[in-house]
Amino acid sequence: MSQKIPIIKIKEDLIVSFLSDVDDIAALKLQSGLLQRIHDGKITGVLLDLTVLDMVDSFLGRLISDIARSSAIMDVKTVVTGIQPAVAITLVELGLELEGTVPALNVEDGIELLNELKKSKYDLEI
Amino acid sequence: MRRQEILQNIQIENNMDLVKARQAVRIIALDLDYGIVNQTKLVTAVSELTRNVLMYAGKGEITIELIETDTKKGLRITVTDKGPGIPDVDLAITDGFSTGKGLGKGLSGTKKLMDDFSIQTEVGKGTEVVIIKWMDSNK
Amino acid sequence: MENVLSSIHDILFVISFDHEILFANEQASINFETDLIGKTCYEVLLNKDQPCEICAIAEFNAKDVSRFRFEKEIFLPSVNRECYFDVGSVMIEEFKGVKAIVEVLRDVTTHRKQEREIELLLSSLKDILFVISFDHEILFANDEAVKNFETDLIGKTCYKVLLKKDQPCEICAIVEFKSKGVCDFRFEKEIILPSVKRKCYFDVGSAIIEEYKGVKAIVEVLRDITERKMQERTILQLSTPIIKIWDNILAVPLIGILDSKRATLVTETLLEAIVKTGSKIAIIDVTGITVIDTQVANHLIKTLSAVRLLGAKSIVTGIRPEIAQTLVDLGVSLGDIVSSSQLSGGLNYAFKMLGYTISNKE
Repeated sequence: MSQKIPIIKIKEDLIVSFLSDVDDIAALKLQSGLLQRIHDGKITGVLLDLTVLDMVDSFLGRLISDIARSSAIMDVKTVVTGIQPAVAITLVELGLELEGTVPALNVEDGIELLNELKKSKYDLEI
Repeated sequence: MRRQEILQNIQIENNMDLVKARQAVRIIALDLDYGIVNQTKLVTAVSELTRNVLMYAGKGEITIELIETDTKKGLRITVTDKGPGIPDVDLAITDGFSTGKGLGKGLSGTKKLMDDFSIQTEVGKGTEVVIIKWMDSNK
Repeated sequence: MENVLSSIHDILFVISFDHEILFANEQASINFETDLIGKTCYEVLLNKDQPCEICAIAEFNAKDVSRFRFEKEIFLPSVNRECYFDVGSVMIEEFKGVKAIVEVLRDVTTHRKQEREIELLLSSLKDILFVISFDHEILFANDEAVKNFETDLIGKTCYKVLLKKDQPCEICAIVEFKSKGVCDFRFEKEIILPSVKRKCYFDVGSAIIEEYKGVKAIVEVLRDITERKMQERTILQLSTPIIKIWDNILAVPLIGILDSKRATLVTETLLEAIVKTGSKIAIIDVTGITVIDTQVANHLIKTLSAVRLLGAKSIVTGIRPEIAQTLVDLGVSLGDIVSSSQLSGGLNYAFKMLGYTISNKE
C-alpha cells in the first residue's frame, strides 16, 4: 500500500518530510496535495526535506523541479534540504539539477533561507 | 568470468515492486561492502530500469547476480520484459536529458552510473537490459 | 647403412629388444672406451644390472609407439664426468635379423649446464619466478616460488596451482603471446599465497624464451607489490586533507595530479565533511594541481555542483590563467563559480559571505 507523505504547515510555509522509500504514486499524490494546499491557503514557502532519502532518481528529481516551478508561478519559494552526499553525487552524474529549488544543508538553515528568499523582491539566483 | 551466482529474482508487476527492487539492491550492495556512493548509483539505476518496465511493458523481471573475474568482483543486474520493445534504441540511449521525458532519460542516466551497460530489444518481443557495477569502481 | 651411421657426430646405438648392443658408431666407441657389441646396453652405459628407469625399449613394449624422446644423464669415460643427453629412439623392424631400436644420443651438456647456471641464478632472486611451457605446464620454479606456494610445482598446470582454476586466467601471458605475437608482456595479478594465507598483489613481467628443456616457454617473474598498493591507499587518503579553517568554512588544498580515483575520493570526503561540520562554504584551492585537462575540469565542475546541492557555496582559488582558459573552453560559465587567484582572497570572500569583519584589536 502506497504511503502518504506528511505535509506540515508552519506559519506560511509547508514542510515536507520525505519518507525513506517513495514510490511513484506516493510522490504524485504529494505533488498534487502540495499544489492544492498552496492554492487553498496563504502559502509563501515550501521546504522539501530529503534527509531520509537514500536515493533520488530521474522521476523524483523531475517531480521536485515540477513542484518548484509550479510553486514559483504562484509566487511561492521552494527550498530543498538534507540531500545526502551519495545522492548529490548521483544527481550530478545524472545531470539533474533540481531546477527552481534552492538547496540548504538542513531544515533549520532551510527555513532561514526561505525567509531570506521571501525578503528579496526579485528572483534570487544563487 | 570466474564465477557467477544468482542472488535474487524479483518479479515486477506493480508500483510497490519499484520500492521492493530498490530495497533488495540496497541490501545486497550493502552486504557486499560496496561504498555508499556506488550503492546509491546501483539503486538509482535499478529504479530507472524498473520504472521503464512498469511504464512500457506493465510487468517484467529483475535478476541480480554476483559475478567474479580474476581481478574484480561485482554485481550484474538483468532487467527483462516482454513489452513492446524500443524502436529507436540508439536514439533513446543518447537522447538523454536534454529532450525531456521518456525512456531516454532513464536509459542514458543508467548508462552513466554503471560500469557496463548493454541493451537488447526487439519491437513486439521485449527488452533486456544488463548492467554491471564493479566493487571499487571509480565511476 | 653402417657407414652412414658411423659418420654421425652423435653417439648412436642399435640395440635389440633384449637390450643387446648390436651396433655402436665411432662416436660411441670413442666415448665409452670399451667394447660395446654384444654387451647389455644398461650395463655399458649406466653400469647397472637392470634396465634404466626411462627405457626406450620398455616404452615401445608397453605403449605401442614407434618413437620416443627423453633426457638421460650418463657418465662418459672419455671425459670422466656426467654428461647430459637428449635421446631420440626409433624402432626398426629388422637389424641383423632381429627387431631392434636405434638410439641417438645428442650431447646437450653445455646447454644443460647453462640452464643449470641460470636456474641457480634465478633461484636466488627475491621475486617469484616460473618457467612455463606454452601448454601451461610449470617447467621450473625458483626457491621463492616453492617457498610461497608450499606445494610441488614442476609438471603442474600453472593456473591450477597459482589460482586454483580449471582454465587459463583471464589475463594470461601465454594467451597474449599466442594471439598477439609480442614477446614480452607486463600486467598486475592478484593471488592468494598459501604461505601468508592472504591476497597479495603482483607486478608480473613475462617474456618468451625460445627453448627450455626442448620446448618453447615463457619466463614469468612475479614481483610482490602488496605493500606498495597498501601505501598507495594510505597516501590517497592522506593527500586529500580537508581543513576546517573557521566555523562554517572548509578548505581543500588539492595537490598533484587529480586522477579519477583521487577526484572521486576528494568529492566524497568533502561532501561528508560539509554535512558533518555543517559548513556553509568550501574553499577549493587548485594552486597545487599540476595538470588540468578536460577530465579534471569535469570532475571539478561535478564537485562544485554536488556541493551546491548540499546547500553550501564553493569558492575556487588558485586558478592560473591556463586553467581559466580550459574552463572557458569547456563552456563553464565562470560566473557561477566564485573564484580568486589566491587562497587568502577566497578566505576574505568567505568571511564577507558569512557577514564577518576582521579588524585589528586597538
